[in-house]
This record gives sequence, structure tokens and C-alpha cells, in this order.
Amino acid sequence: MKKNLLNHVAYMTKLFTIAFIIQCLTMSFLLAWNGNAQVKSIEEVRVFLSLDDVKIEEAFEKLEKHTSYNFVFATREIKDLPLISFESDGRSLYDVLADISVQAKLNFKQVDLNIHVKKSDVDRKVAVVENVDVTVSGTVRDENGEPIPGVTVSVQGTGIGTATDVEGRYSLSVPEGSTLIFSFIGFESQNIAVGERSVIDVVLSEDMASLDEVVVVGYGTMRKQDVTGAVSMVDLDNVKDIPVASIDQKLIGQLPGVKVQSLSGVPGGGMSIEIRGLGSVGAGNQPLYVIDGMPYSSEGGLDLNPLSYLSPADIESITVLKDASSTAIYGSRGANGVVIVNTKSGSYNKTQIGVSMTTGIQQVPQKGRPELMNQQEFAHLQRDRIAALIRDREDRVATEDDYPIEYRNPEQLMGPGTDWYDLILRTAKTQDYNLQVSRGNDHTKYSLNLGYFDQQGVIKHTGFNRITGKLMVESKLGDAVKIGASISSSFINQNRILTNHGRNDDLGNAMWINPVMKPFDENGNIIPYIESPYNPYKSAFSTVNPLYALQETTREVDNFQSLGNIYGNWEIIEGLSYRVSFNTITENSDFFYFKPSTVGRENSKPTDASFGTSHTNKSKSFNWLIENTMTYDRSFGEGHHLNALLGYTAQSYSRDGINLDAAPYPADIIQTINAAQGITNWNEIAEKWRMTSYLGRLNYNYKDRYLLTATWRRDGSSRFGLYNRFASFPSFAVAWTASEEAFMKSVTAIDELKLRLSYGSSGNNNIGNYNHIARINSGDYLIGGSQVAALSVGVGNPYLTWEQSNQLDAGIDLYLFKNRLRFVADYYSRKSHNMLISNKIPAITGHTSQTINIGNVQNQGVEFDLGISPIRGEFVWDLNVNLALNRNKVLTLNQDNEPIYSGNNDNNPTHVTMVGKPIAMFYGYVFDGLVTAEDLADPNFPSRANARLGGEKFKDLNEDGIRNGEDRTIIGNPHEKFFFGFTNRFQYKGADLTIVAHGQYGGSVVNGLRQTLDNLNAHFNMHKEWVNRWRSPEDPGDGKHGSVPGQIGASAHTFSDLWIEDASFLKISNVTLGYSIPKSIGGRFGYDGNLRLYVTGQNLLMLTKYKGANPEAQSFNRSIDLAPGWDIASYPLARTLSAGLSLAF
Amino acid sequence: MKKNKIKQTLLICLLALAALSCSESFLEQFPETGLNEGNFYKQQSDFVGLANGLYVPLREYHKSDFWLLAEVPSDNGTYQFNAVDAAAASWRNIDEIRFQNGVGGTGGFWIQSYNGIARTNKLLEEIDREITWDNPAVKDRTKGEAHFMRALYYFNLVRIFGGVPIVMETITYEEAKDYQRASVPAVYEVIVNDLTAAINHFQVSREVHEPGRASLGAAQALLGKVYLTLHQYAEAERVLKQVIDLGEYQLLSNYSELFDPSIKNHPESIFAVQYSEANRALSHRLIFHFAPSTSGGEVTMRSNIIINNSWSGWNLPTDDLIDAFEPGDIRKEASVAIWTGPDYDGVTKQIPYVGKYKPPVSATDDRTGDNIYVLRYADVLLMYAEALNEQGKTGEAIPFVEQVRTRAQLNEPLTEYGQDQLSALIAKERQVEFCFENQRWFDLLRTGKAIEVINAHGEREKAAKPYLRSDGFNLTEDFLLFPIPEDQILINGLEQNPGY
Repeated sequence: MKKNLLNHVAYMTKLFTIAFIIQCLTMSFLLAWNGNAQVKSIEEVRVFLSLDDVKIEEAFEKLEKHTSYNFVFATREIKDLPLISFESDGRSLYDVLADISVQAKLNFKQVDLNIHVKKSDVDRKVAVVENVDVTVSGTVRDENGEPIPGVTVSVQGTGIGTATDVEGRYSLSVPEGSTLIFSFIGFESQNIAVGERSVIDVVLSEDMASLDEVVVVGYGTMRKQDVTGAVSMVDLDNVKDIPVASIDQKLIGQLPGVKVQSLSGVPGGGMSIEIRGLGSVGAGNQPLYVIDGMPYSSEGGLDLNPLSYLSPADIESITVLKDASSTAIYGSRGANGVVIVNTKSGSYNKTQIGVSMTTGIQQVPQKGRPELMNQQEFAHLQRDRIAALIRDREDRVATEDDYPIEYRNPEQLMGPGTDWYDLILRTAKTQDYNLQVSRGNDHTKYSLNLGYFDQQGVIKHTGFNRITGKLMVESKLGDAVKIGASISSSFINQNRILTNHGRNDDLGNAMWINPVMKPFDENGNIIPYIESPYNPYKSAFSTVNPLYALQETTREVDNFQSLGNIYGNWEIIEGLSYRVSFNTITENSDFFYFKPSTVGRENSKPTDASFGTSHTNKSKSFNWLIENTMTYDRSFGEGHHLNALLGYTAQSYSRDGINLDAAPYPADIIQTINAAQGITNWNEIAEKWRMTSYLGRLNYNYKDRYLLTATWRRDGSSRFGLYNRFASFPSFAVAWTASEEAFMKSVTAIDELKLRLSYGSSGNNNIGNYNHIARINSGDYLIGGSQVAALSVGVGNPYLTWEQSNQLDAGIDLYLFKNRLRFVADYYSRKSHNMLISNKIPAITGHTSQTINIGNVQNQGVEFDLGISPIRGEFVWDLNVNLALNRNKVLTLNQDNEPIYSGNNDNNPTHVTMVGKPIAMFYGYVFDGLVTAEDLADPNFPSRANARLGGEKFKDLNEDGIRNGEDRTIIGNPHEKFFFGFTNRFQYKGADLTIVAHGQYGGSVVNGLRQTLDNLNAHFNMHKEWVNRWRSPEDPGDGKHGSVPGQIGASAHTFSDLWIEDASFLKISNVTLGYSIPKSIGGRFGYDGNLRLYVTGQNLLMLTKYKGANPEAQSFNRSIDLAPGWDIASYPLARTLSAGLSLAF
Repeated sequence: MKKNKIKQTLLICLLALAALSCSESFLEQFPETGLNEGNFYKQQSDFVGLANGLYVPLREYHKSDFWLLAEVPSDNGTYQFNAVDAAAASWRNIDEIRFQNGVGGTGGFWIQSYNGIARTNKLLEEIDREITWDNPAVKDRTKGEAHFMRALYYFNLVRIFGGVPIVMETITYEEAKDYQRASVPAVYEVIVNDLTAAINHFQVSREVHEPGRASLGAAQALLGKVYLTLHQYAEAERVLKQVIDLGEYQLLSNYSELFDPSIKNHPESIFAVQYSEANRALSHRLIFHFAPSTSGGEVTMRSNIIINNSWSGWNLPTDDLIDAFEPGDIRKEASVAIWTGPDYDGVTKQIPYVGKYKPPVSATDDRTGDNIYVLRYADVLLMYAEALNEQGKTGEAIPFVEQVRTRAQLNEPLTEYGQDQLSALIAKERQVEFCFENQRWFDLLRTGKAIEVINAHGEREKAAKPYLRSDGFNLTEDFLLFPIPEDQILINGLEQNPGY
């Protein structure tokens, strides 16, 4: 089977790992061969030993103790042998072996001090090979020149053999005229006749066909060649050194059709993953995460990403299931795709210690920082605005006395003024330490991981740090039963500020404050409140010094999460095994916010009467899952292979939380609630959901050519209404590996050609916990003149159910030219039905509207994944490109297909979802230039009453002569045309260079901050472009930036296409340069582990026309599903440079 | 050994299956932080609470737009003309009998009515759960209230829209689409059955009656009105006689006390929608609708509340109504108040407005708390008289009419009245006695006089008011029923009334 180049390096690592295991196992060869000077013949050795009905192993063990020989055998050779007996009171070992040979039908062959054991049909055969007269030695390397440890070197036709050491060296005494066989898993074996040579160096080439790459799928693993669905595995090697808080940040640009967005740069948060488009308007579009078999919440990723509890260093593999045939096994939770994350768990018969350390610095790139007017330009704006008002109100020309003293001599205001944004930024540190110890003998293994991650925020007083610990142990009880347990705990501390909300949030403030004002007084003390010069006509807004707000306000998260897992696996008969597991997630979260009395707000300066306020939120949750699965795996007949899975699972989640607002605090010193005079608001949340599921999967494979997968899951959920409590999710997939057909074998260029087709359904159950249950509503009535409770039963929906998604996927896997070209393409069409939408219902039910399953939306798309290896050998270049196009279309909505308006800007919607269009298009006015004198003279000019010369003009789309809400239309599409990622990887000897880039083409984003600031009312500082504003008919500026308004207010921040910008971008998201110290150098210093040094840079360069910092950014208080593409006061994405080393031995 | 393993395997499979047997209750989860069907229906107070809730939709439509359907199209109520305000056009069309699709007021009434019906259905479905009642009579009272209220909701619906869908159980939005409009007699059958059931339940729960709730007398009186509407006069006579014989009710001696917000649930009030100024939900603001728009705070006594064009100046007494009062009828002064001030044309006029709904007593804003009568004893007396007279028992009927007129200080004996004469007098008595109590339109429908009276009224209006369009006031048979709200036609797939 060919392997994907992307996974090439990962597999090399695995091979080395395996090599070490083999080396340990074959240590006896080495021991036996080494230190052997003079070998006695077995005929000369006397044995004094009697055994009665013992196992053959025991006999060998005893003989080894009594003689200096070692028995070398493969376990399968001595399986199921009869018990043996012998008595020897000084007989020769030769005779004893001859005796055993008869009893157990075994052959023995002595080579030096080793006695090789083989099964035999012949009754009696004991050979003594003596003429050991040639010593051959050499080094075994791979095509890249790297030594391969653990290669088996054996003499053809004999049991003589050894294995290469860590430097790939071997040495072996062989009979003259022998042929050596060099074999190693994953490589093509080589036979070499020794001849006269005493040094034989060998280069092994990879055997693509022998690599049974294993892919993680739902509830198990599959050989890659057996996969029939659209399943992508992340090549963690490309991204392993990136120092980020959570693994999803590493997925950026790695997989086709998996859109990983950095919605903000909040340390520990700000991520979103969408797989194959938006399938829901109301129930979320984030995929299901499954961590070590435990489905995991994906809620709340904006402030704090749930995946940030996991240390990326502990991750073994990440697999993304995309099509219905692979997600259907997750039933009502699979519709948005599934991300399966498995963590590392140690190995049997192996001891490994790994240490890694990374430290780096982060800075906010210059590109994307707010480009605001300098203080002189700002002063002119203030003057213009005051002058305009005086002109309109008092019909006179303003004099210098009308302007605040600070603006009277604009020419003296030199330089940019205060850069408030820069004031709150800093160069921040990031550090990451991980220790992994794993150890195993042949029946028990354990691993212990410890990690510490600390990321300071690039905004002062913010940051995220995490301590993780994981312990896992697994042990075999006899041959058939394995039991294991693991516990993995994380403690997270996050210092937040309010960002991504709006002009008023902690970051928003810093993007518009008057640049003439100073943050510090003459003594260098911080000024808590920034007051703009007052003027009776117009003053710029005053607000809290953003640095002061950050410094004084607390917004702290202290969360603890623990994942527990205990399981047992029993191989009942060969091929049939039963597994039971119990998983838990326990979480405690604690949020505390405190604002002291001294922190003011926009135009609200703290006074003596101001007081501190606090908000506390504490919650705990417990989530458990029991799974029982039975798998049956068997080959039979000629080329038939069957793998079946049956399972039953039950899961329960409960959460309890309490919210407390406390105020007023008489003093700011003590911040605990008991210092407050009272609790001003309180609320308790208690929620539960439960699920039971049956699942089954059948894989059938005929001669590796014809593959068939059928899966089925039946979910029962407490979230579903009584009439729809259980839901079934079937799927079906077929694949044809054409390259396995006889007629294709001759086409040597094609390594693999597979055609896949699948269809199935999965669901989205994020429909709220109790929405099907009728609430009892309370009101008042009067009985006997007294007020009494008047209750009524709300609307229940016994039909409420999952959102269902049916997906067709057709794919092709093509691997050419010895795997140098790898091409995977998929087409999919996914129709989501039963979307939850608020719908008008017949009033005769007693109710007028209800959220019901009604809307349909379609996502169609193609995904390409192309891998090329132009250069192989000592220098390796691998290139991987992926690209995905998705087209989203709403097919139906509610009863009347009424558009759904969403988003909110000055109480107007900003997005619309309507039939025939993609979900959540931008909705607003169309800018139509600036008002001219002719316009004002035209009696038919729409909205003449509110027009001012040089003011903004919007199209009267319905041509009714009035410019009002009916003139709004779709003005942009937040969804990209396609998105892509590419990874270049170069290797030369121990050095490697990886460059990851990603981007999108098409799609729009709203520069939300400009939209809210840019209105020439002179409240705020604003973008430098406004220097080119309309000043007079003779000096009309650039035609886009209107005039300073007088009494007729500006309408510039009316939501229009002015603020919609192209969101296309190309970003060099990561460059890593690493160097693995070769063993030969390390060895010189007595170190024989793996040492790797690397430097890595993130977010190095972005090419985009977008004027903001991050075209993927999203406002947190706007739904990412229904009001996407709104970048406002977004926490900046840092550019990070870090260096690290990792050590493994 | 192998056999043993198979056995074990089977055992495990069985264990796994055993885990499933509890799955139904395992999946049954209810919110813990608020009342819901999962933790409700446990005690008497739960059901009493639901019974209290039955009156809420009635309260809601009486305070918003029931007067618009029951008084404004009749010859009693009109509106204050204001040339610049076009927003109220759909309401004005009701007064001017230019009904059309989308006519104002019907949508809210339909929705509230069926909300009320759904509440009664739900209560009746759940009330027989096995719980311990502190007093079993309360259970009967509660059932009686549910049957009564369902009948009342249907009775108002059928009189406004004609045959409507009969929903007698809780239905889902999917089931709703299968419901079509029933015939008028079918709706009346439901009403009569419900009222009969209510009477039975109320008969055994009289000792737990509380003022404000529906009662035995209310159910009998309403049934009497239903029979009268169906022209089943003997039946009407029988049940109305029972109300009179209950001995619980009598006329207040002073007519104007009926409209004193401090006197409620008195012996003349058989069933009234309860209001109070105590909070927004419990109150209405009828006087703010009914005061002349130009009166500022002079009528409402709340100058801080701006009464604006579209929402005030409604239900003004017409000249026809004012003229209907006989000289010396004290009811005129109680019913028709006069505000003197400038009208929209700037000319100072004496503008009449409804005197029955009073400004706030203690609330500082626009909350008013007058109860709105649904049934009062004077109604029973006049209905009883009508039932007798229609059967030719004019002589028996006269004392009951006199009883009502005497209180109005119209003491002239009616002994000379023949059947037709008395019939006309009863109609006139009802017009003035119950003006602005949401009776007039239904009285005109019941007596079959609507077309004749309204069109005559229209001629007079058009002659007096030059701003009225000539195509108005053309009441036809079709317009005796209001159009089914258009959105419900679409969503519910219902048939529209003819003529729309």
C-alpha cells in the first residue's frame, strides 16, 4: 500500500520506534554473538537435569540456566507443542536436544552459543554448524543516508542473524558462501551474497506496499487501504514545533475542507473549525471532538477554547472525519464533521523519556494596526466640526475663541500624538515545557506526562497558562485480557480583557481616543481618565485610559478539568474481542470580574459616588460515558476479509452553575463578595442531557479490491421530543481499488488508484437541552380583588429533533511514480434538513410561533489534496497543497420562507439569510457617492430633508423616492470562494525546514471598528483616509469620505457596502527550521538519544487588501453562524518567534 | 473451554442489553430551575393556577381590541377624525363598514381566543391526574371554569367569524393543519355542551366560589344568551329563570355605580373581566384609547401621558346613540361624557366620549383598573324579557323591562306595549343600557337588524361628516362576519369567509 507523502516523516519516526523495540527483542542475538571467544560443541556439554511434563519454554529456560547456550526461537514456532519430559544424568546436550526434537517435532541448529529452534516435519534433526569463519560487518542506511537501527540481518537458510545497532551497524559471523538477508519493516528486503567481502554496506529502499498505514476512525482503527470514506489525518510532524495553546491552531492550512479560523488572538481562545461549510443556522457548525474516545464539547471556543485543556505535546494523532460514511457512526453529533484526537500512551517493552522546551517572544505586527489621524489632523477635524455647527446653528463663522485651547494652534501639534493602541501592547513571552516518561515491559506499560505552558498576551495584563498532567497505565492479564486506566488533568489560568465586542470594550477604546491627550502626567503617573477638551458645540468622547482599565480591572478564569478513563479489553476468541470503557470529564470553572470604582466608561468619569462591582461565575460539570463494543475481525476463504463492530453506549452530562453580581463595594481593596454591600443579581443554572446509542459497522473487503462499509447508529437523546426520541443514522460506502486489479498491475507508474463513493446521514443535536418540554409560564390575574398567579402551559414540541444532514461523497485517491505524486480529491453534496428555525404556527394550537425543525440548506464542494516529492535522496523536498471550495445555499426556511435577519448595528440587521442564497449574507445600503449641489436642487432626490452637501448618499434601490429600510439589499458575501493551505518541507541530513502557508480567496469582511468610528461627528479619532474628506465642491476629497456634518448628522456609519472589504489573504502561518543532531555527533559526547533544536516563527507575513489586522476575525457578541465576518476590536494575532529543543532517549 | 467462552460472551451481551431496558426513563430529563410539565401537575394549587390563567387571554383581548369588533362597527361607536393621521385607516374601515382582508383587530382576537381555548383544553386534559385535592369541590369549580371559559371563547369567535375550527384537545402545529373550519351549528353545539358541563360542575362547587371566577350564575346566564342567539327562546327562558331564581343577583340602585372603579364584583356583576391598576399586566388603558385625541390630559387626568393620534379618540359615542337616550334617562350622563375643546380642525367643540371607563385612580401612569362586564344582571333581565316576549309572553316580559328602566329613572309603565313594540323597546334599552360594554354589534346580529340599522346609521353619518367616503356603510350579508385573519388562512390552510 502506498502512503501519503504528508505522512511520510511521521512514519519514518514510527519505523525508528519499531526498530528500537525490535532491537530490544533481539538483544539476545547481540549478547550471544558478542563475547564469544571459544564455543564448545553441544556434543561436549553435559547436562544434569530431569524434567517431567513441562512446557517447551520451561525446558529451554532450564537448559539455558544449566548450560551457557541461548535458545533462539519465534514464539509461533513453539506454540501448542506437547509437554515434554527427559532425564539426563550427564548426557550430552546434543542427545538431550535430539530427544526433545523427537518429542516436540523441532529442529535445532547450534550457531555459536545460540541454539536456533524451528518447527520440523522430520522427526529428528539436530544440526551443529561450526565452520564459522567469516565475519561480515557494515552499516545499513536508508535512501536518505540515515542509518537504520534494528534491521534484521540473517543468513539465508539458517537461523543465524543479528540486528543493527542505533548507528545502523551490524557485525556477524557467517558460514562461508552465505547469503545475507537484510530486512526491516517498511523497507524492501535485500539478499546479498557475502562472497569474499568482509564489509557490506547496504542501502534499503522503502517498500511502499508494505506499509500498512493505520488510520483512526470512529470506534477503532482501519488500514488506510481499507478506508472508504473521506478521512484526513494530520501530519503532526509538520506542525509539532509550533508553540500554541491548542491543537486546533496547529491544524491551520493542513487539511482540505477543514477551515480553521483564528477569530481573535486571545491567548487560549479565539478558534473556530468548520468542516465542509455551514449546515445549520441555529444549532452551531463546530465539529464534534472525540478525545481518546470521549465526545467532547466544542462550545465556547471564543473566550476559552475547550481544546486548550489538552497539551498539544500529548497528542499522538488527529484525524478528521468528513463524509457521512465516516461520521454516521457518531450519529446525532456527526453532521458538522468529527475531529478524533488520540493522546500518547507509551509502549510495551520500551522505556522512553522525552523532554521538550520552547520559549519565544510575540509581537503585534505593524500591518493591521489602526492607522489613525495624527494629532494635528485630529485637531483640524475637531475645528471643522465645531465650525460647521456654529455655521448651521448661529449662522456665523467660527473664531479661534470658539475652539478649545488645545486645538487653537494645530500647526504646533507635531508628531502622531499618543498611540493609545501601542500603549497597551507589549512584547510578550511564551514558553512551553513538557516531560514524558513512558516505560513498559511485556505485560505492563505506563506513561507519565507533565506539561507547563505559559503565553503572555500581547496586550498588557492578559495571558494564559496551563499545567497538565497525565498518567496512564495498561496491563495484560494473561493472553486475552488487557485492562487500563488513565487520568489526565489540566489547570488553566486565563487573564482576560474584553475584546471583540465593540468600540467600548477594553481594546476598542484604545483605537479611537483623542491623540492630543497624554496617558501619563508630568511625573510619569498614569492618568486614569482621559478627558477630551470640552466645547459647548462638540467634544470628542472622553473615556477611561485603556491602560488604566487593563491594570485595574480583573477578569480572571481559573478552570480545572480532568479526563478519566478506565477500560478492559478481552479477546474472547481469535478475532472476536469485547471492550468496555468508562470515561469521565470533570470540570470546575471559576470566573471572577472586578471593576474598581476608579475605572470609568465612555463619557462617564468616576466620581466620589462611583463604586466597585464584581461578577462571579462558578460552575461544575460532570460528564460520563460507558461504552460496550464488540469487534470481530476475520479473513476467510480466498481473499475475503470481514471486520464488524457492534456497540452500545450511554452518556450523561450535568452542569450546575451560579452567577452572582455584587455591588457596591465601599472600598476597592477587598474584592471578595463579602466586601460588597449586597448581591445585586443572582442566577443558578442547572442542566442535564443524556444519550443512549447503539452502533454497528461492517467492513468487507474482497482481495483488497472491492471494499464495502456499512454503518448504523441509533441515538436516543433527552434533547429530542417524545415522538422523536430515537434517531437512526445509516451510511453506506463502496470503494474500488483499481490498482489491485490484475490488468492494472502492469501500469507501473500507478502505485494506487482507488475510487470511493459514500452516502449517509448524520445529525446535529445542539438544539438545547429542554426545548421540547413545555414550560409553565406564569402571569397574574385577580381573584377576589387580590393578585394571584395565573399559569399556563407553554408550547411543547414532542417532535423536536436533531438537524439531519445527508451527504454524498465521491472521491479518488491516486498515487503515482513510487509515491512521488499523491492526489486525493473529493466531491461532496451535503443537504441539511430539519434545521431549527423559529416558525409561525397556526394560532389554533394556542401559540403563534415555535422553534421547529423546518429549514433546509445545501453545501456542495470539492476538495483537493496534492502531494509532490520533486526531490528525494539526501536532499528531500516534499510539497503538499490542499484546496477546498464550498458553495452554500439555503433551500428553504420557515413556513413563508421569510428571510432571517441577524446581526445588529444601531438596531438594524447586518445580515440576511434567505432562500436561494448562502447563509448570512451582508445586508445594508449601497453607497452612491457624495451629495452634490445638483442633488440638493433636485426635488426628486431621495431623503432630501436629511441630505447635506458632501454627505453620504445611498441608493434608493426600490426607486420610491424615499431612502429607507426597504432600500437595503445584499451587499456582500462573508463566505470565501475557496481556501487553501500549502506546506513545503525540506530536509537535508539532520536539518529540516518547514513552511506552512494558508489563505482564502474571495469572501468579505466588515471592518467593524471603522464602521462604528467613521462618522465625522468628531467623537472619535478615525482612519487617516478621512484626511481626504470632502471639504468643498472644489475640494471634494476622494469621493468616498464625506463632509463634516453640521446640524444634519452624518450617516456615514449607516451600515453600507462602504465598510465591506475583500477578505482574501495569503499568510505564511509558520516557518520552522530544525536540526536533529546526528547520532555520530551526539555519540561523541556520550549522548545517544535524539536531540533536536529548532526555531519557529508564526504569523510571519500576511498579504491582503484588508485594512484591518485579521480578515478572519469575528466579533464575539455576534453569532459566527448568523452574523459572520464582523471584525471589531479584535484581539490582535501576534507574530511569534521561538526557539526550542527536544530530547528523547 | 470454547463453549464456556461463548456462554460468557452471551452473558455480556445480555448485560449490555439489560442496560438498555432503563433507557426510556434514563432519557427523561426536565429542567430543574423552573416549572415545566416534568415537575408540574402535582397539587391543587397547580390546577388553580392554571384556572386563573384561563382568564388571561380574555383580559388581553378585552383590553386591546374587542371593543373594536363589538362596538365600533355598530351604530354606537365612532372615531375622532384627524386628516393627517393615516395610520389608523384599518381601524377606521371597521367603523365605516369597509371591511376587507387585513382589517384591524381580528388577528389579535383570533390568537388570544385560541390561546384561551388551548389553556382550557390543557387544563381539562391534565386535571384528572391522581393527586390529592385539598377540597374536591375546588376540582369541580376548576373544571367548571374551564368549560365555561372554553364556551365563552368559542361564543365570541363564532359571533365574530362564523364557523371556526373546533379544537378540543392539545394539538401540535402539525396536527393543526388538519383542522378545518366547522359549521356554525357545530360550534354552538360545543358551546352548549361546555356550558351544560360547567353548570353541572358549578352546582356542586357553589360554596367555594370566589369573586372574579366564573360561577353557576355566569354559566346559566351565558347559556341563556347562547340560546337567545340561537333563537331557542324556551330554552333561554328556562336557564335565565334559573339565574333569577338563584337570588344571588340584583341591580345596583345607582346606575353610575356600575362604572365606579372602586366598586367591583357587586351583586349585579355576574361575570366581569378583572382589572386593577396594581401593575401593567393587570391593568388596561381604555380611557386613553377612548379620550378625544385633542384632550391632552384633561380627560385622562394624566397630562404626563401623551395620547397620540392613532391610538386615541376611539369609540366616541355617535349621534345615533346619544339620541337613543330618552329624556330623563340617567344612563346618558353616566355613559356619554363631554369634553369641550378644540377638535383637529382647531374649532372648539363639545366632543362626546365614553363615560364608562375612568381615568386612573391611583396609578401615576396610564394604568386603569375598571372591570369590563361580560354578564350583568340587567342583561339577564332584558334577555329574559326578550325570551318571553319572543314567545308571545309580552305581559310576563314587561315587569323585567320595567325593572331595568326604573333604575334609569324612566318610570312610565309599559303596560300598553304589544309584542313588537316591546321588542323594539328591549332593543333600544339594550343599546343604551350596555353601550360600550361590547354588546351592541352582537345584539344587532342576533336580532337580525344589523344591515337595516347600520346602513341607516351610515346615511346619517355620511350626511353629517363630509370626510367619509361614499362607498362606506354598505353592510351586506357577507360583512356580518369578519374575515378570518389572513396569515392564519395561509399558515393554517383555512377557508375565508365569503365576500373577502
